[in-house]
Amino acid sequence: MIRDWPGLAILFIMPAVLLVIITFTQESAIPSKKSGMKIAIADADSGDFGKSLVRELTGGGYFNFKSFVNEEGARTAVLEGECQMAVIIPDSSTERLYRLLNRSTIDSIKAVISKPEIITGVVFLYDPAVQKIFRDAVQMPVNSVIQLTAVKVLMTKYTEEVNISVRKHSNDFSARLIAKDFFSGIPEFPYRNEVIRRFRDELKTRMKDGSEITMPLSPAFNSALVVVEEKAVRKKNMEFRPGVLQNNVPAFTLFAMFFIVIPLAGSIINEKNHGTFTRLRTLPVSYFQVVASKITVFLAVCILQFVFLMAVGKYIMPLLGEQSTLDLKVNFPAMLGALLGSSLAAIGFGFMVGAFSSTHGQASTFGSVMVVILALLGGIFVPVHMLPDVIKKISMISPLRWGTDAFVDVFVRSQGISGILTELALLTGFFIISILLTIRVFKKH
Amino acid sequence: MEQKPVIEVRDLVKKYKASGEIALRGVNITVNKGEFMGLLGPNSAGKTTFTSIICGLINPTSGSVSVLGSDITLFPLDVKQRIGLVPQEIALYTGLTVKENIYFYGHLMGFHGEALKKRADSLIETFNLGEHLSKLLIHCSGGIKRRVNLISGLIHDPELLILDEPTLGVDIQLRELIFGYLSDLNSKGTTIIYTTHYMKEAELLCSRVNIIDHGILIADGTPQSLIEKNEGCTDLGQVFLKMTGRDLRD
Repeated sequence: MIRDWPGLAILFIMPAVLLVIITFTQESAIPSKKSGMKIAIADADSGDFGKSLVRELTGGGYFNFKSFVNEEGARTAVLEGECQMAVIIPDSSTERLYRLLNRSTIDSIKAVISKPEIITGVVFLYDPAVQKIFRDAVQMPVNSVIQLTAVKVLMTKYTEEVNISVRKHSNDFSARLIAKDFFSGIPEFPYRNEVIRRFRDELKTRMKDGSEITMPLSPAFNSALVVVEEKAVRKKNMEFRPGVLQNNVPAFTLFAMFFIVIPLAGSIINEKNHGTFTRLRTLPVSYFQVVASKITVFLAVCILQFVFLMAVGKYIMPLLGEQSTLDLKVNFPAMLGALLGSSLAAIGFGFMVGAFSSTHGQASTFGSVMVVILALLGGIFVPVHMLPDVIKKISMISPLRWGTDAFVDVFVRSQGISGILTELALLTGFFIISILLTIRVFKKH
Repeated sequence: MEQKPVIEVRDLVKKYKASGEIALRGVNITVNKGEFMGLLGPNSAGKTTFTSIICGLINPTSGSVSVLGSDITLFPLDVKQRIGLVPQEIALYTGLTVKENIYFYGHLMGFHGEALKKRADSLIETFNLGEHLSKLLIHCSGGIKRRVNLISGLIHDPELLILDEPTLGVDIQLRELIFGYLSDLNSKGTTIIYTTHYMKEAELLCSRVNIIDHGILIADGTPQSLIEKNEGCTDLGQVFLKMTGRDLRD
């Protein structure tokens, strides 16, 4: 057994690689600062609210934020895949927030808290390739920070005004009046009386010693002050809103295509071991013809896989109760390009595994485990943007990553052929190198 | 006009780069049209290297190789079209049926349609495979596989046929059938190179015998002339042992 290096690699090296990648992938499955997800933030407000929100979000340790000076920069970052989402703080947000205080201070605050109204809005942009489950995982905590920041900013301003008012009327009666008045319009909440009593006592104390008053942030302030509007960043010609099928069907079709490695490598090993390959070489056929005939057959299989799985996504999944739909009104040349590029890369991989393996056992075990590893790296199970930076860098060498990117660009981002040229070049380059290596091994054999 | 030899090999040397082993050390062999030549030698003598060069599988290190009038190293596809190889191993597709295997090799040799059917039917009948045509090769007996292996090398009616131990592991009945067929084929003008370890077969079938050992041609002549030349030998087996020794080879 110690002489069976490929077997030992399958037993020791590959499980170790799987362990590392799956651990990182699992840790990255929940959006966090550790995950590779990046969120753009653009502060067009530049007032107290905008600055506080940027400070709270970037300093909070929630996610990886990247600041942009304006909305356009953040939007471009999402469109180009640099960031997966963006928080846009519109112009004059602080001004609109403070406008409340320009009414008769306490009344205005009470009105807002008891009956929330739209004061300002924050826009939450996202890449359509980011699935809803991951968007929600980011949006919920970010939304809480937005609301809390709005309340803090508002209360800080309000506290300043109350302090001025208290200095003018510093007596017990005023304290009771302010406290009673402040909480009178607020709906019931837990420990309401206790909160009011403490607030009143603090007012009295501060009035006596002349120190500043800190306003309590009670549960009542959880009412939304800021409306968060969710928008997908998409190109002008993109009309549909991609659902889970739009991501999953092409991704798992690609995964299935790469499993062609097992029959393809198996057929090559059969030919090597049974002598048929040597016999073919004694016939008037060139290496090119031998290789081209296999490519043609397995390319047809990949295309059939694609058509079959698209049909499952389009027609079978809705019958099983899936709510989202698979929209096939995508750029056809781009779809064909992604399909052919990915198929050829899968075939090239199959050739290499077949050429370098000696037995079926080696080829099928190595091939299938490698496909799972490449799929993990390629974003089939967990989107690449969620992976840690180190893994993300390693994923750049996975043909499944190039294939996934091409399919996501076509199916989710409505890209044309020009939008996937890089991925097509990588897939085709991988195919060509694989075939050249295979022919080299064949010749040596 | 003098007819060109079917095979003309001059000063053939083959050194394997990877192992450094010299398999052929300046071999000169000429095979004329219509000859039934036995290529004999112990294990690792250089027989497989020689036939591999003749078939265009590997290139020689030095020397010239003319097969059917063309340089095999320069025009391999032209030559391959006209030669047939029946390898020792069953070099067939186990996932295909008997008929599919025969037709597959026929197609690769450029035969199609009625011409292929006619040729295939004739061979299928000769080797009595009619009732096994739809069987997957993986489910066939060793004898059937051996017959299909032979037919696949004959399907294009080659001018030069190279057989590497075609009777390995076959019963006496099939052996007789193969001998009969090959003799008939040779009498119709097909040149045959026959590699075997069974000296009786070579003595019976071959019009000429070449013995190679350690990469050198050590004997060339008819079986009878070789027996007569070697005093005390009464058959080709004794000649072979006398010339190559009794030491075990790799």
